[in-house]
Amino acid sequence: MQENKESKIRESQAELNLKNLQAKEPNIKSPRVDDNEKLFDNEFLKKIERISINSRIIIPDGATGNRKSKSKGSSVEFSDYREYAEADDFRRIDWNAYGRFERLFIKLFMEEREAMVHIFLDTSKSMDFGNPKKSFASRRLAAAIGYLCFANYDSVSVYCINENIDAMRLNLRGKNNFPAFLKTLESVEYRGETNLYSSVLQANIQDRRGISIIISDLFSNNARSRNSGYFDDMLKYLKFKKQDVYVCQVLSPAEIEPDLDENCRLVDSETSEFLDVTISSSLIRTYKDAFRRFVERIENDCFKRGARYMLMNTSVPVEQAVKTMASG
Amino acid sequence: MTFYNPWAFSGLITIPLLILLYLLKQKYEERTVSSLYLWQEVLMDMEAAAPWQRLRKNILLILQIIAVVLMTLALARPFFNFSGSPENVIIVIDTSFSMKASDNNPNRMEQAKRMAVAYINSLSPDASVTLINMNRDAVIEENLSKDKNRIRDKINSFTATNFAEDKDFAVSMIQSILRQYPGAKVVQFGDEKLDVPGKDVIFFNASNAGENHAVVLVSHARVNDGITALCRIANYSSEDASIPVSLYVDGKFFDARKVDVKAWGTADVYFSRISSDAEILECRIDEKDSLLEDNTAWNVVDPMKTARVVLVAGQNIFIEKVLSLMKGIEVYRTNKEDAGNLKGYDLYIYDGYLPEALPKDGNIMVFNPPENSFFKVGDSYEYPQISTSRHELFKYASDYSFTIGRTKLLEVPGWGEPVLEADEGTCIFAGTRDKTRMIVFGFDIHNTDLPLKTTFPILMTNAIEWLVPSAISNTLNVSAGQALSFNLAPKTTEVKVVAPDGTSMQIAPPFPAPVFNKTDQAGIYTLVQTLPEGQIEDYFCVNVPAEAESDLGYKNPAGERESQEPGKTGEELMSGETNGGYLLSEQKGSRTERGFNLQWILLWILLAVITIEWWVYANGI
Repeated sequence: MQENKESKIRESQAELNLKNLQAKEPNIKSPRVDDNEKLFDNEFLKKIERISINSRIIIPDGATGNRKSKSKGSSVEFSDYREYAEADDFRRIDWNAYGRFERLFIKLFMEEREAMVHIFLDTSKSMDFGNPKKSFASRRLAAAIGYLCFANYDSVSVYCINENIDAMRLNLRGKNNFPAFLKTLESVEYRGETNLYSSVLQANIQDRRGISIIISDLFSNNARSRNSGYFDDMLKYLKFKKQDVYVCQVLSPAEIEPDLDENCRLVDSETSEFLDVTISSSLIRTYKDAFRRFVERIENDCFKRGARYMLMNTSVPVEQAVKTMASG
Repeated sequence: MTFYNPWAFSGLITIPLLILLYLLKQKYEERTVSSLYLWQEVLMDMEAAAPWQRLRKNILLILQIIAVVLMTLALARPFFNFSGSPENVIIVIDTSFSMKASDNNPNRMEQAKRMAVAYINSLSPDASVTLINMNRDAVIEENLSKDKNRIRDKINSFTATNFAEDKDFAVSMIQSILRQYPGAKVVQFGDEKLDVPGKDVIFFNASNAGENHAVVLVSHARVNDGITALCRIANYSSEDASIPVSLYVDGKFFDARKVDVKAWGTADVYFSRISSDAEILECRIDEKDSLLEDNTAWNVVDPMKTARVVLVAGQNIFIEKVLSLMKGIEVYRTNKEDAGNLKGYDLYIYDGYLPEALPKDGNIMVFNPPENSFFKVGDSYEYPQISTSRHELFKYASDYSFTIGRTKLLEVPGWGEPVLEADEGTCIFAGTRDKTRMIVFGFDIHNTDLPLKTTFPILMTNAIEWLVPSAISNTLNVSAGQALSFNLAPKTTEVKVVAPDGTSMQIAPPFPAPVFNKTDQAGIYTLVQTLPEGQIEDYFCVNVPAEAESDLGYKNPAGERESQEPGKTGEELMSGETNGGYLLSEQKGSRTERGFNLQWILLWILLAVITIEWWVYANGI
């Protein structure tokens, strides 16, 4: 009963928040968003309200937030006891313990700090593809993650990347910044090719522990083809920057299982290069093999670098992907 | 395996063109994909970028290529040869009169042609074929030919003639070929098997033992009250028959009879009191049988024209006597003194004399000629040693025991030819000078014992028949294919022969008129001679060789009648033809392996492939 009551309160709170957001940003609607389905609506909000990203990292420093940190400080979460020493705040003496042991103990509490979350959203032309579109699914995912982070008092930076950084919003905190965050997502233009490594380098993120989330199809012509060198370099770099890395590969069903006719001229959405193929069962088989190898390479790279990998099919609801991601 | 038409493989050149057309025709639907990143990897794996790879799944193209290959193979006409070495085959096709018999469908000739073509189809492309057309003679139509198409065309162009076959000639020709190619097979298509000594003839029998009645002879005799016609009717069947026979005189019905003829026998029927003016007798059997052409026969009545002969001499009792014995001749006599401007006679006989200008309206016979400007007369010679003559004028003469006491040796001019020669020179010559026929005897008839011999009347009759223009009685009635020469009037400027079908053939000029041998149609021919004073029309008839050819029953090579049909009927050949090839030929237990023509099988498969291709196209698979 208590839980139900709490969840109802939360839902009403979330609705209120969203109304506030929409009231504050009347022009938030972007022409790029499907008319029938908004990037972020009540329905979606309800679904993700109760999810929070469970990062394994313990934030060592940073501004006060809602995330556990190594620092002991003032919070409600008990961490440990230690004996009183001079200059300690006597307000923290546990008098109950003194009554039992006749010695002075200080109660230590886990100080909650904010997390630095970097969302790298691939906005190359290849992302504007598929049915449902990868662009929509990926932005919805980014929006959901962003919302959850804002709710968790994290600091969120979003980078729209293709060959370079196309757009970015840095260090947004608090839910009142969510509309600005959403606007950034909604005004994204999909163009150019993907170059994750160089874009991530350009972001030049602070050398502080944080969370980096890569949302991309990972189709990068600069991925050094078969050994995905640049992707690995990017992971290495992010690890060097003390990031807990989440790689979310967004793919449309047609990319996982191509549905093509006899003779096709396949045109690359990014480069307009084309390739004439006659589709046959063996060709489709070979494609699936290549796709499997491709995913395995990414997974291996992620595993090697301690990054978490998730394949997101755009035909699967985004909230499910968010849940999977949040559960770590 | 060999191919009849290896050149047909050039048709395979269409396959690259077909593929090229498909490559050009291929339309690619543009499909935008997010990235070619994976596809490039896929194509590198598959090498699918190669143009031909794109065609792999195109079933229509594959079917069309198969169709082209099958069509090319069918045109090349592949042949499996089981017999090993190339064959050498002598094919004899009978085209004699009996092949017109309709006892086989539609007639023996067509049946024989069908069988022969089927046989040719079953031969390997390497087989050499010598094709002999056998009727009154044997003509090699193709010699050691491997061109089956030409042989087939040749066979298909054969038609049955009205001639009787000359088997001996054909056999001698086959033997001479066999001497050169002893291993050659002899295959005969006809209705009577040839007997080639030392060779087993593979005989395909086109006959079907038809029963037949025929008019084998029409003749006539002049009697006091007109003409009596004799018609001989033959019954070539195993049962006695009562045969209705009609006689037509000059195209008009004269009389009809029923003639009872025993099986395999003949019966004569007489029609008397025919007007002596009658020119053409036509005898018909008024019923249908297996061979219709021999149910009619003709006879041209001797016209009994009277020839005027003038004898320019003193007394020559022998000549006068012999002329008086000949029918249709009126003999006139005159002296040398009155002989200068003689004209209006059909024959001028000069004895020891020649005028300065020869008459132009009749032919000439000269005995003991003086020196003259028309031919050279040599010295006299006593008791020349005469040799046997092969000249037409000595036809039927066999007694050469006569002696010539003294003769002038004659120099044969360019227009003449020697008739009787002695060791020392020519005693008699004959020839045609400026359309005038002339016979010159170098001796006086009184200086020889020739008139006392049987040779004399024979020689004189031959001479008068040759010299008197209307005397063509020996050529009034001939068999089809027989050649004949005409005794033309000296004043004739143009000669034509009108065949029974109305075809007009010019015989002369140039003179002398050549031998006429276009007697392949049966019926009445008209000889038209154009003279300054008008045209003379004479008739002669050509009858089919009924006696030799109308017996449709089978006789063995020895001429004995056999009740059982020997030889192959060709059914196996025919079935082989429709089934795509012919495998075996059996003849009296001997088994001759040949080959198998795959063309029909290929064509059936081609049809199936085209049907599948159409189905695939129609269903858009």
